[in-house]
Amino acid sequence: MDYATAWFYFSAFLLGMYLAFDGFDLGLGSLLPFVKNQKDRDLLVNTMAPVWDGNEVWFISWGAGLFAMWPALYAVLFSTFYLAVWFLAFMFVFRAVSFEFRTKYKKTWDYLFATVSALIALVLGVIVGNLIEGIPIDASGFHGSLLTLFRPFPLIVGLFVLFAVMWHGANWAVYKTTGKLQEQMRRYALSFWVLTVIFLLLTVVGMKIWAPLRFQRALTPGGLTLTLIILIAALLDGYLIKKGAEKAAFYISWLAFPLVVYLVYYSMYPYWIISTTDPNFKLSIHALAASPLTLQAVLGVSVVLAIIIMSYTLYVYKMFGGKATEAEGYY
Amino acid sequence: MDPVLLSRIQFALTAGYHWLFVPASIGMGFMVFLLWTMAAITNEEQWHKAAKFFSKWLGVFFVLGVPTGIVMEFEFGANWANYSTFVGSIFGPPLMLEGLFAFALESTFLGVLLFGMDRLPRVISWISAFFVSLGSALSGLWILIANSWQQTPSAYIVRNTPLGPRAELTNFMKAVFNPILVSEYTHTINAGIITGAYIVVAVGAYYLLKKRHVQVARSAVAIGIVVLAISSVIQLYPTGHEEGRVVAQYQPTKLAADEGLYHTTVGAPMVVFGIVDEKNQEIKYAIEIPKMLSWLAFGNWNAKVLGLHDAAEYVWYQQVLNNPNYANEKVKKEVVDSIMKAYGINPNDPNANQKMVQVLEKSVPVAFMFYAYRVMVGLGTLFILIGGLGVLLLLLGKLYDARWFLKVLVVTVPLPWLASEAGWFTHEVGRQPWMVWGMVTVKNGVSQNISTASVLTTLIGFVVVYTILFYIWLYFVKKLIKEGPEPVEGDPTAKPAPAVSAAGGGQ
Repeated sequence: MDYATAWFYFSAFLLGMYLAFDGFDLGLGSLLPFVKNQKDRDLLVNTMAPVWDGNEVWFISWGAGLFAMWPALYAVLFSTFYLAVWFLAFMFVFRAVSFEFRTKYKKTWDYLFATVSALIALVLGVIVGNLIEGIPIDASGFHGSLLTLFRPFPLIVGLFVLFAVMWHGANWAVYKTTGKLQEQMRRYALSFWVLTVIFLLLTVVGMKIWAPLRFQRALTPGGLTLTLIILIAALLDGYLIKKGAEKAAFYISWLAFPLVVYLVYYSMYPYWIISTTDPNFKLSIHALAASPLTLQAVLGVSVVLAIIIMSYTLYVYKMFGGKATEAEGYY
Repeated sequence: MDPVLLSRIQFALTAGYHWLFVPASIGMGFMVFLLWTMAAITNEEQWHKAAKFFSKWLGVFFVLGVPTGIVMEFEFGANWANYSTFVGSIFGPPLMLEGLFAFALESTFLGVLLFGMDRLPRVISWISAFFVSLGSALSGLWILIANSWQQTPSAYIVRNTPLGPRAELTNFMKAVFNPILVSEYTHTINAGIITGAYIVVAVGAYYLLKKRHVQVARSAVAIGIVVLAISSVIQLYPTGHEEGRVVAQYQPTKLAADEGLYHTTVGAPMVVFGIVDEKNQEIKYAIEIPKMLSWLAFGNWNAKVLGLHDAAEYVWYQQVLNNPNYANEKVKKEVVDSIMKAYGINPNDPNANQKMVQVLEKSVPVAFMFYAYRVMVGLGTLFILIGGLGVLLLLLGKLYDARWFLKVLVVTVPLPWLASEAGWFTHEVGRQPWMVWGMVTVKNGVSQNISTASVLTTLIGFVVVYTILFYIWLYFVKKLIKEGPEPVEGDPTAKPAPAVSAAGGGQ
């Protein structure tokens, strides 16, 4: 395997970890308005409070990895979708602030936190959807506007990501809570599990219609195997939620994210960008890659570091393991 | 108003704002680790309460440091796409390693520290404080590796690729340990430590004045003033001095602007203060120390220091046109020509080089730099005086009762931030117009496909959002001061936190 390919799949791993870890923060955040009791909401927020800053690591590393290893791609995407990118950035700022400073005007902050959490999940999905479907771009540049981003297929992918994180977040909540709240969360886990599966299937159908090149690639034995594993995992999770196996249910949704991201990357390989208007215009991961020494110098150390981070992260999760209590936040 | 100017303003705003929380986080990380260590050594309650209390302070700085930092990562791609394409292969990896090496450590263990203080054994808190402090120091290291490389780029070769000319690494370690890294890093981290120490001292002094939490406050003031005194001295020598020497060697236009030196001088004096007259290119009413600048910059009383014009000429001919790090003459010509064209100069014009030297000369705002530099150095000197006086009072056993001095400490607490911002200006504005020294200027680095309207929209967005954030942040600082540390048993001045804040859970 060449270095660009290795980085490509390592990048998939980083994004997968982001959605596995911060995914339940985003999902739980989006679920807050469904929880009427303020005490219950506090409890839910407390379940993620000790770990949520650490969860952001994967996003930062994924973004910086794109920048470092495909600077030209990073530059094209970010400057082309200037306003969408900044919209996302503002959402991240608001999310951090509404989460950390919610002591006063709790209800307002909670709604803000919920809104931006949902929007982040949706927009991230829309961006991924655009990468899958392709964008109207050719040698002379990008032809479109901000609205170009929000075509049917990217929106389907966006909703898929949103429902998936909500399912994941509800799974986390079931795992961390007890009693009535847990029951409520279990119901949400099931509903959003249903929506996730529906939108997963819609995405697959959408790929056939709107992104035939990617769809073909997904039909290769590797892609089909992955798809099958994901479908089995998804179906199994519904069963586990119903059965009340909360730990197993959470672990499965936790594992499903990296698999889905991996499948997306797999189906895109080897083209980061394809054009919707000019079938000959494709930008491969090799053409956009950083210089060979850069790809080489940082790969080994990054993989080792990612493993180290994983191990202490899991240790920290264990440290704060068990059901959530009504313990105070730190302010 | 063009996208270049607006993008510059936006970058200055976002970076300057992020820079309010960075030194404080680094410094508080260090102070918090010291306090937890003191708590472990002495096993006394007041140290333990102080450690817990200031850990919360670290939290409120960190909270704004993270999102404002993420914003900067977005900015490189969105506003400075050409720059990103040109040097991303070299500038990107340190950013990525920052995430994996440092931010991961810092953020994970800050969570453990803040939420585990009451539930986990003290030794875990101590270890977490150590990792947080280590993480923020490493974080600063990687970011400054990226920054310093732009100031004194090393170990690269510019090649022509299908995506245009770009800089590629030739040796990772040599690029990391570029000439300015060590002095820039030590100077910056130490600035953070000064800031952290100052906050601890000022908060302690405030409680002493109010006669609240006296035991915790004494501990804070005592340890803070010692750290402040030591770090302030280190800031001047060796870190500040070293940085000056490297700048003199590699960035002569920056040195000339810092010193307001318009004309090349043998045995140049150091101007303590004066008024810059940009029109006549001189410093009026200058108070000077003869030959001092030559000695500081080159270790020789009679060394020649380049004035602004000669420095600009030196940079253009020696550091740009004679830059050996190009794969071939063709790609060098392409890059050099594009730099000239960005400033409206026709490369075939026989006077093109002289015009470019003028551009370089005019890009550095001398008066601004001269004053910013003096604010930084002046405040640095003031910190040495305050720290020294504080330690003296501490040794005489009078520090806790010297109310006038405690008042000085409280009132002057914004100054370390002012010094840091002035230092940042000196460092960054001084390299204008270069984004990457000798290779990429701001006009060449900006994104080609962004419109004035887009940038204006986001810029206004930032002003609004950051203003709101700052207000919220102040609210939480006020709240922390009001609540104070947990009461130490047997301290009659320790007032418990108001009961209201304990209700409702959440944070």
